[in-house]
Amino acid sequence: MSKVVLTDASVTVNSVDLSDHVQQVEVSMQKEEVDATGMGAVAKEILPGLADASITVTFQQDYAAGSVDATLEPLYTGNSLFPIEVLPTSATVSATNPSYSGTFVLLEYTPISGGVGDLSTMDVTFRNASQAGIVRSTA
Amino acid sequence: MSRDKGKRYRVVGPNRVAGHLPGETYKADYSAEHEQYLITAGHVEIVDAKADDNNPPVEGDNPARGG
Repeated sequence: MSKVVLTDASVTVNSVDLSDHVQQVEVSMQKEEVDATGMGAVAKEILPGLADASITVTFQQDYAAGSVDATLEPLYTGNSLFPIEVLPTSATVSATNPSYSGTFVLLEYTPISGGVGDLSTMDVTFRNASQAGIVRSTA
Repeated sequence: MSRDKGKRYRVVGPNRVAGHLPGETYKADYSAEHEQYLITAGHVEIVDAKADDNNPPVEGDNPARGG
């Protein structure tokens, strides 16, 4: 397996492939640290707590029908729970192109962002909305 | 996916939907809410049921990524 340079990551939001408007993507999985250290201990005992997950995407904004704003705004307004799938490349899911997917909710949306002369981009964080969290799949 | 279930949709927006390119048709079994979302946002349109029976999927359809 070779090292990876991301040039063709695939980001699908609620069945819609928005990859060509994605500037950056980050799939993040975390677990809370639970301190279980007891009296008499000489070192901290840390146990894994509740898991959490999020996917943060920097989108290049586009207000055309069927594009970024038309895809994301209804998800925010409708309090929808929806699937997201992220892959390192647009190729078929495989052992070397794993899929990270889950059910998410959009709690914050910034439809207009940028300064004069800038490409309008926005950072969107999708928050985990299911007990399953993010699932890794290779088939 | 069973051929008995779902409707046939055509991708009318600029982006792939369920792995299908703009202009392609595909079959899916969406919830009413998801179908309304995709149509309202300009991603897909419903293809006439007759077209489903008479026309095979457009070249390049990829049912493995459908959904």
